[in-house]
Amino acid sequence: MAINLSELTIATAREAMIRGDFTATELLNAYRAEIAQKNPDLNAYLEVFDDVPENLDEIGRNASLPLGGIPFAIKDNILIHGHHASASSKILEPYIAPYDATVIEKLRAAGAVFLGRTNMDEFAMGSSTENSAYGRTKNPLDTARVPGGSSGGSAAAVAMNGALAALGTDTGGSIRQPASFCGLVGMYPTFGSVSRSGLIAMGSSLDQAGPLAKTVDDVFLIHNLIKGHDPRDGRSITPDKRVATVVSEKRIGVPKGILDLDGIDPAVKENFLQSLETMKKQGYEIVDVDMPHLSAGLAVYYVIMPAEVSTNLARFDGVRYGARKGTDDLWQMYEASRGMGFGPETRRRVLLGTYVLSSGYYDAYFESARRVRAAIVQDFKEAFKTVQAIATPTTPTGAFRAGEKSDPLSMYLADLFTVPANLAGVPAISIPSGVDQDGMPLGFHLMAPWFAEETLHTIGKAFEQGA
Amino acid sequence: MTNEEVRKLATLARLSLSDAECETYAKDFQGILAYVAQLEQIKGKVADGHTAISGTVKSDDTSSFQARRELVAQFPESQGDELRVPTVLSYGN
Repeated sequence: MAINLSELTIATAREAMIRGDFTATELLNAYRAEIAQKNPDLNAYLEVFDDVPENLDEIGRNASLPLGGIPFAIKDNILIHGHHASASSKILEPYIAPYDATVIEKLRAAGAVFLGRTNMDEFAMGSSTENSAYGRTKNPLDTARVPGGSSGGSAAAVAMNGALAALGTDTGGSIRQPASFCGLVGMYPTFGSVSRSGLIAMGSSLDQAGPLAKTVDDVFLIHNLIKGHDPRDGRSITPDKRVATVVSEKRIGVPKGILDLDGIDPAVKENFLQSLETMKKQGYEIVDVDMPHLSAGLAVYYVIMPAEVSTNLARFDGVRYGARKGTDDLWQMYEASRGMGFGPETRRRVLLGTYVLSSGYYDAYFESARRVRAAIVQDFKEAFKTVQAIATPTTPTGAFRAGEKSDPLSMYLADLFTVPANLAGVPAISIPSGVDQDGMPLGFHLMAPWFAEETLHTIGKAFEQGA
Repeated sequence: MTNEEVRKLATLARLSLSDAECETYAKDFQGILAYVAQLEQIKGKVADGHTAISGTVKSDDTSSFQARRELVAQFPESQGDELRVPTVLSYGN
């Protein structure tokens, strides 16, 4: 039978497979046909896998498997045993994952099928998927525009009906911003809630893996399957500390002055105000909250993140894995392997991180950023004493045109609303909220207290139903 | 920031850079550092505090890795089970 992929959700696909409307193999083949047709132009996938679980149709029929036969797209910085994982970098071109990431193990155990690995900004550094060593990914809704980044391939894969759901990683908005640009739901979970074992690290105080899907329910179904304490991740939080404190009143806060920041498209402001009206209709009270340090979040991020990047990427030196270049002189081998293996944006951030960590400038940059970050955490703690969630737009504009942002700082501003959640480690979700003047999707962005993912689920569903 | 300073950072970060790249990055960093300079002003006005939820400290134990052979297969150059690296220390001639 012909399967209507654009209408399908995880819930409806599971029902259909259990009922016998179609088999998991038929579903997989429907997605593969779509990919074969669209991917040569869109470049969402770097590689489409040809391996399938042996008893796939049985898995699809098995009602006890929450993701039985559900086809997933996986970002290229998440290890899948036996497959390449390059983080869209030349330096990892030869690398084959020797083990599964914990999130992959968990998805596998739930019955998920992996369609392939998706394109991204190199080492997850970027907001447009233009920084990949393997060419840019196009936005399926308008191919002249970017799909967002850095999980742009994962977002494009779902938006083009080339996967039912995807995993991405989010260090400063890399799940939520592409979800918003492609009309999907995407979530960054509480820092420490999902294991990072088997993720190629970028910013170790910020990175989390999370889902991109078509509905709020699908996103939380996936999150609830991949979360959990893992001794293989040193920052993974133990079950006894996974406790949320949420006020009982149905109240949402909007940070004072948030819409007055530079560079916000009037269409985004208008759309955001409509989203707040939707929440009021759903019985939520909207109040202003004072978060005086939030607007400094992007500056904090562009100190902390490059510092962590320069530290994490020190391991790519041509010695133990990846591409080795140059002569048999040790110093020359380091410089050549890293010089040829890293793309321009990666080098920019490694250099910037080296600068802010160097002894002469440490106090001026890193120490200042660390202290202001603590003040931002305090802003969140204060706000959550009165509100269940904090709302902002997901992005200052809709999806921009490829090549439009050539100056790095103007590209960095795309992360304005998303980075505070990473800096504080609070869960945040982007939900489609309408379109801008060019017909490109926009997102409503909600942040909740630490481990209050269920609150985000409840509020997110109310928004989805009301919008 | 000067081109020479970028050149020095590149050496510290073990990156080979062309002169043209040094110039581009020097220009980029002016803009980025001017933007993040706001932090130094704010720093003086905020109380110091904790930034994130802390994790757990692992004991410093070794354990065997099941996919050892697959790890070895990732070495850029190997001799048998061993990783081949350029000479680190030499004893003069």
